[in-house]
Amino acid sequence: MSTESKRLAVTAELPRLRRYAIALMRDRVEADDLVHDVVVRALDKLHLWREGTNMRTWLFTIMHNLHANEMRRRSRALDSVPLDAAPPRTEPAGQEAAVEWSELSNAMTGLSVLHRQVLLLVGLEGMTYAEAAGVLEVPVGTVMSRLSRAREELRHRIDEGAQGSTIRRIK
Amino acid sequence: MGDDRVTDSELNALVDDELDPARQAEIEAWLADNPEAAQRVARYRSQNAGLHALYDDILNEELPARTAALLDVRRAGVPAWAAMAAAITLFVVGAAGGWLVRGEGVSDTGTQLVAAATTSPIDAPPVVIPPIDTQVLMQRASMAHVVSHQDELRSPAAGGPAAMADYIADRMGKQIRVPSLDSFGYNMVGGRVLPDTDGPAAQFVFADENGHKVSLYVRSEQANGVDITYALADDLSMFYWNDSDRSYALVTRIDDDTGREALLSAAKAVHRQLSQ
Repeated sequence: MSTESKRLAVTAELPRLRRYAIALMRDRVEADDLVHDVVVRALDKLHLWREGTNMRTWLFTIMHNLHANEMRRRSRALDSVPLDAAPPRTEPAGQEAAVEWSELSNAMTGLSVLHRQVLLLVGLEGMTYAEAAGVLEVPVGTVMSRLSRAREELRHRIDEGAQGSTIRRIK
Repeated sequence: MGDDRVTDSELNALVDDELDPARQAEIEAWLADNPEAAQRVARYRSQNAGLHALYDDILNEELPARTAALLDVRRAGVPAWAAMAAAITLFVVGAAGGWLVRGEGVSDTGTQLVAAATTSPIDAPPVVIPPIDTQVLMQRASMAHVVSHQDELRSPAAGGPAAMADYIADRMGKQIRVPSLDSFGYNMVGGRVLPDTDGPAAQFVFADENGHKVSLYVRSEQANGVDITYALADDLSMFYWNDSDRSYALVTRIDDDTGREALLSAAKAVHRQLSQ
């Protein structure tokens, strides 16, 4: 495959990388910075991408590593924020996010990064457990147990959010 | 059925199409008697559909110019006529009427090209993605869905799926698997081959016991990989996707999110069956 074909293959994956980055980080500026860094890294390493392997998971793996490095850097800087801490900042998912999904959006905000990662890779990006495990560089069993816990936590948070809003409406 | 114990992981694996067909059938049967677990499965599917509803719009956004400039694909030799053709296609489809893409995960390359061509500064060339022609797929699949009366379809009664596969293959000139939506309560009404621009297309029509119709449109198209994506064309909902040489659209008329979740599950099932 020519270099240009590889670049096209990278380009074709960028909308999905961006969707994942924005959903994961919930901050468009930071997400776009991350995607930019992924493209820089990918172009630099393009000769290492093996033809016949999955370009998408290769790029997601690069993104995961860059994101993890950034989280560790911040964690050291703050000296106290663990990798699985809930994120401090929130931003609406999209300007047109439908009202009926706002509780899901709020509930996602409360999940740890580790839980958001598996939910988004499997539930949104449609990756198989094996692909998600490859991207996250953990065993498949870890993906499954995280996913199981993440979905349950999300379910409870959505229920609590719904109750909360009912109570507010009654008041 | 063999083992009655169904684990949390298996409920998740059911949602994610990670079970082998035999175990999937067992668990689906088991769920019928375990409403609490069935409810959880429904909630997990709803979470997935919600994530798509929240985030698929992002797929249609233009890339930040500085990132697009890194790739500079247009200057690298994608001919200008490709952009031109996409713009013309978009215009014609728009003028012909009524096919509205509500931005839920539609990789609308035509729109991106037109928008990029009119708004990008010279030093930030637009990124050209080899297109799956979403507009054409949606239009053809919707039209075929609306005018698929039973008497125009070949009935599956004569010889079952194998005979249907042969019938379609003879007329398409290509082998194609015949999907099943039985586990969703939809039985095949029939199939047919229709003319399309890149060679014959196949359509399979299914209906539930109330006569509610779901159809799968399969057209030949060499296009870039698109995963299952939601789109709305007039009042028809569809999930579409493609593989290396075909694009697919599963179409029905739904009016609530529950219906959309069911359609997504069905689309994933079809996707799995056809890619096996």
